Amino acid sequence: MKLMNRIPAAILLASFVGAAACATAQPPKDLYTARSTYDRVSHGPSAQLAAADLQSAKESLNLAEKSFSDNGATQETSDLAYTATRRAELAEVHARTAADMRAKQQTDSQAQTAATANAAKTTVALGQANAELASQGRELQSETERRKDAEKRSAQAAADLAKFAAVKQDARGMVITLSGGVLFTSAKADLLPQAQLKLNDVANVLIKQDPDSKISVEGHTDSQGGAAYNQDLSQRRAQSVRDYLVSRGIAADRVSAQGFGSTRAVADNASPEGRADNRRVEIVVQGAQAPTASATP
Amino acid sequence: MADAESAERSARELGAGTKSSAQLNLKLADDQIAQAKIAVRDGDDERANLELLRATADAELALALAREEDAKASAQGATNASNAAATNTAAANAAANGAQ
Repeated sequence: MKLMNRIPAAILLASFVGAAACATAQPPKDLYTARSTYDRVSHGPSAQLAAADLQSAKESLNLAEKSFSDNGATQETSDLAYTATRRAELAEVHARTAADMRAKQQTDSQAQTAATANAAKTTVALGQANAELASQGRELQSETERRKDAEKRSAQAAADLAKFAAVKQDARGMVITLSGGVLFTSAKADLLPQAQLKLNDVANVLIKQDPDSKISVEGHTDSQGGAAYNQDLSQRRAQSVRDYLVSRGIAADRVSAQGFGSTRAVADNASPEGRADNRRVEIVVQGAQAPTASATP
Repeated sequence: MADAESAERSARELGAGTKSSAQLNLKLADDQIAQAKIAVRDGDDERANLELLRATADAELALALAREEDAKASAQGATNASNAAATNTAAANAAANGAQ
């Protein structure tokens, strides 16, 4: 009986000693490592980016903890702890990989957005360049047509002039020469009625010409009389013709008047015919072309 | 045994054997599979199972590390390409502005 009483006590003591030993036993190094690894990983991005892997690691760690709690620092506990460490590391690696892939997707997306923006920018620039080119082409066409038209009108005007005035070409441009005897009475600067008719025709021709061309009306006398008198008379006559042309519609800023007296004789002043030729008004149209065969009315 | 060997094979096929970050874990998996085979031969199934548990964990980690290395290289490549494109775009814009 005594023995019977002592056996349960021995078993109880053995159980107590075993439990105490387990409770105070140091966890194996693998379990320490598993705990610290899980703790580190669970506080990192794995919680968001690899939650399932982290849960798997947690379950492995729980198995290791239970093994240690139940059996102490056994080889099985170390193996389970080792596995838990690897599971936690796996979660960490998966989280890093997910972050890398996200970064790549973001970079690809940004590159795609930039490429699309560049393509759109290029398209807009190309459209603008094409529009500009088309506009320049139209302007060029317009300018070409304007020049052709001006040349045509100028040629037509010159041909018309040749029918009733002496027209020639020199360095200054097209020169229309009108005899002074036809335009004025002697020593006067007032236009004769028939001179006005002739100048009407001249004005009509000049109006048809290039509106940008300048017109210079130059008065000339013969050598009879004083130089100052002739200079004054030639200036007044040039001015008279100039004013009449303006009154007939020629733009005032296109036409100027200048007298030269007898300084620019074109014939011998010793003869009446030569003096008649020298008494004249020349209308110089700068840049215009005279007809190839000049004519005298 | 099949799970561990399958994971080890996958890791090796993904180049874990040549990727520095994965080589150690792949080697550990190989060693543990070998230990498991010895345990099986000795009739110690419990030991074999635990070795295979370790081997599977190492093989899967090796596989993940190999994939990570690929993903990192791919991300770096995308970044380099993006930077090159940005540089080219900046140069093209500068040239276009200079031409205007």
